[in-house]
Amino acid sequence: MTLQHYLLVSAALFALGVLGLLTRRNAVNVLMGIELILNSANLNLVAFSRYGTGNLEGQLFAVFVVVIAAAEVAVALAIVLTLYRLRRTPNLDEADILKG
Amino acid sequence: MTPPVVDVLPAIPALILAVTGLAVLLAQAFTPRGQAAPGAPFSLAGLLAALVAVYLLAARGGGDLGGTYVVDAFSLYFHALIIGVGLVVVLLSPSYLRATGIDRGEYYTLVLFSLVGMLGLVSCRELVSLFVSLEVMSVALYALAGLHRARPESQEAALKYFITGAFSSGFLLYGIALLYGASGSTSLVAVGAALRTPGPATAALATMGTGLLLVGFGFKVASVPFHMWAPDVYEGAPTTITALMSAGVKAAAFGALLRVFGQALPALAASWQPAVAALAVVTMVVGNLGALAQSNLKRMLAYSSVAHAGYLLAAVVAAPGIGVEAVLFYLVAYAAVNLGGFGALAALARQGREPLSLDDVAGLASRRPALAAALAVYLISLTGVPVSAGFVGKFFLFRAAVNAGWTSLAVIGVLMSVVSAYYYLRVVVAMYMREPLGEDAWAPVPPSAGLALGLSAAVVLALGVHPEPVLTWARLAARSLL
Repeated sequence: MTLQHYLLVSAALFALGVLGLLTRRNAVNVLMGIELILNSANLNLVAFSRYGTGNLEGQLFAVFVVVIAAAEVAVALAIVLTLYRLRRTPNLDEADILKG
Repeated sequence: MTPPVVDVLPAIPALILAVTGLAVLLAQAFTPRGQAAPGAPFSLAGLLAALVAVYLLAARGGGDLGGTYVVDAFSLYFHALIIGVGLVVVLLSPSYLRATGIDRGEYYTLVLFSLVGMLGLVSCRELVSLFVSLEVMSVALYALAGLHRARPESQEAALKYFITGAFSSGFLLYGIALLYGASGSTSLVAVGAALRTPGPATAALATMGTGLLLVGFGFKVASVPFHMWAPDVYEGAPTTITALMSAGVKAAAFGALLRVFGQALPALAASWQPAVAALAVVTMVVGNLGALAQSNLKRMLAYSSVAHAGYLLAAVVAAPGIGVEAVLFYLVAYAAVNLGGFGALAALARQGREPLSLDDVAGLASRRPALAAALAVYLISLTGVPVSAGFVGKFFLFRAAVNAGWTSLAVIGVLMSVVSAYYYLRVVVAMYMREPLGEDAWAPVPPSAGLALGLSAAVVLALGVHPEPVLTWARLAARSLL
């Protein structure tokens, strides 16, 4: 395993996350796409820290990102839940009052 | 081994706001059901204390918190601006929250927390704290956008803001990771030094990282083609929060953009300047043309804020140097008019209804002459008519672009300003030339909101007539970035 392998996996995860975010209609699936994007960046940070830069800043950063991602998802789920209570659907296509 | 000595004084303004936020939350918890907690007075006291702390810090000459959080002239300038934005938003809020039935304690706490994030964003000298500050600001704002739980528009705005916000944070983070890989450090200065002498692999990583950072910041400042969330979110969010987003978030995001691109990425200027210039052009054109088509005033102001991101980006192309001070000056002028514009709509809200269409403000001048005059001042400043802050600000923005050799940007900016006169002045015409339709449905302007709107209008006129003091300060702040 070299740095390149990690970077390839991370780039693939990032692409999958973006794809999920753009194509999925269910709000919970979109949240999973966002998690994939954040974790692909985490993988990069840790891989660079382990194989490239020779310092621990990247791994430290990854811990911060994990905590922030958790806080972000807590707020996001609350928003999805309130929208679900109003609309009875987790489908993003039906959230279409605001446009123009 | 002795523990490192950390000077926490530079973080005092942010700490005061964070502690005030917690105090407001506790006050809410100890308030009996059915009574209002003193959220607004607490927040005002905290914001004033933070402003005093900023003044004392400026007198002391700033400081540095362990190399990650720096308070130099640049941060102090933004601190004063952001705390000022916070003061105006808190003054506008009580009457609006009562009129729309969302008077809850967590509102002020979340506003204060998002301000803490903005203060961090303009002070960070390191990429970890940049990301943490960005998220502190954004997560609080996601919740604030959806504060009106019974209104589907508000929930939809929160969801759209969250998805685009998290998406852009992801791009930003991935870009940061690549820059870290290219340079081996997360400190802006160390990244800048490492990128000055790159190897072939490093250069590719750094260019990709810069591109991703630009996409992330593009979302945050709402530049085309990353602007599609802005009209929806600005329309659906509570109007006082829209004011906070358009004035505060944009200022903080531009502050971070200038610092990151000015300190970490000057070596790559040749590759990011054309990209920023292209963004500026499409943002100015699409923002202004989009605003022309709007009948909803909040949406119109949202597109106008997209257009103004374009004018600001035109000067960012000219950064570092004269571009930075032009951006700093314009952000103050821009914050004052946007707080005023959205604030005026919020001040007229009554029983959950706000004036949102041209018909709703028809004849406003005959019934609320002072408020109509203030709104006219903001709109004239947004257009960029002389003797307003907007004219002076745009003059410096476009002069910076011309001096840096980007004359075409300035030409497009001026042409688009002419286009913008149509949709701004249409509102002024409706207020002054038309008769009011039907009953007087507007709220009497509450004293605190009146004070906030008067302050904004005074800043707009003062900067238009006598810009020197703020300009001198902006120049000083810009110099500390180099």
